[in-house]
Amino acid sequence: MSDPGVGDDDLILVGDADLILVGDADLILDGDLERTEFAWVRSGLALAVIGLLLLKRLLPLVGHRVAQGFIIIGLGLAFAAIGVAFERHRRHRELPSRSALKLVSLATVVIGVAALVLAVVSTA
Amino acid sequence: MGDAGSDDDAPDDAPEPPPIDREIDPRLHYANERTFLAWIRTSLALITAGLVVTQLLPAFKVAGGRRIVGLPLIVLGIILAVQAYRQWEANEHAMRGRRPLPRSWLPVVLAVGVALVAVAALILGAVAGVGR
Repeated sequence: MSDPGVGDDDLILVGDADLILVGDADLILDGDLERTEFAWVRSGLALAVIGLLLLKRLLPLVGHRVAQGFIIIGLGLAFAAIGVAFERHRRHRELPSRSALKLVSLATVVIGVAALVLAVVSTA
Repeated sequence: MGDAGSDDDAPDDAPEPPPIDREIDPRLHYANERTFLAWIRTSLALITAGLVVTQLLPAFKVAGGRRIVGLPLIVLGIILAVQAYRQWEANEHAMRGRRPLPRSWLPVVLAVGVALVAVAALILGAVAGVGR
């Protein structure tokens, strides 16, 4: 990682020995922020796909079709709300909040427990 | 940020902030956050693998064979998801306090866990075989 105290027009070694001239240290910060955003997007997609896979197996256990619909709509709204919250978070270039990371960790644990229950009670 | 040259411009009567409150490079926070997210994705991959083994794989000749392989993967995924957050928090505390980052035992747990499950799958596949 380059020196945090980088000034204007400093030479910085980045990645696989690509020498670039940087006029503003914010450019580096933008790159870091962008990589972090992509990491969030990848994690969000992984969470959504696995949640969907799990839902496909778990929903038939609910039985009632209206209840199944409410579950899907509710989860969709929850995902949309989380997406909007993260987007607002990103626009203000804030550092990660503890609650956001805790939420992701908790969502993964919930998915894990649901998978565990499914694996124990039903094997196709 | 930590530019040494900017200290000369600061007024003499400006109090020196305590070490724990000093601003640190935001890139370190972002790197810590990305590491957390990478562990979360690893955790999700383990949970998915466990789910696929128990739900989609053909049954072994041994009763509960798929669960022997799949359940530890799911449990390992849950453990990783919890520990990923704890590790992120520990790293944040260490960075803010200007202390060395704490040693993480997550890679060891992951490597040993996956190796054990792989050995179990190998034995089940080779010795017991699949039912159909």
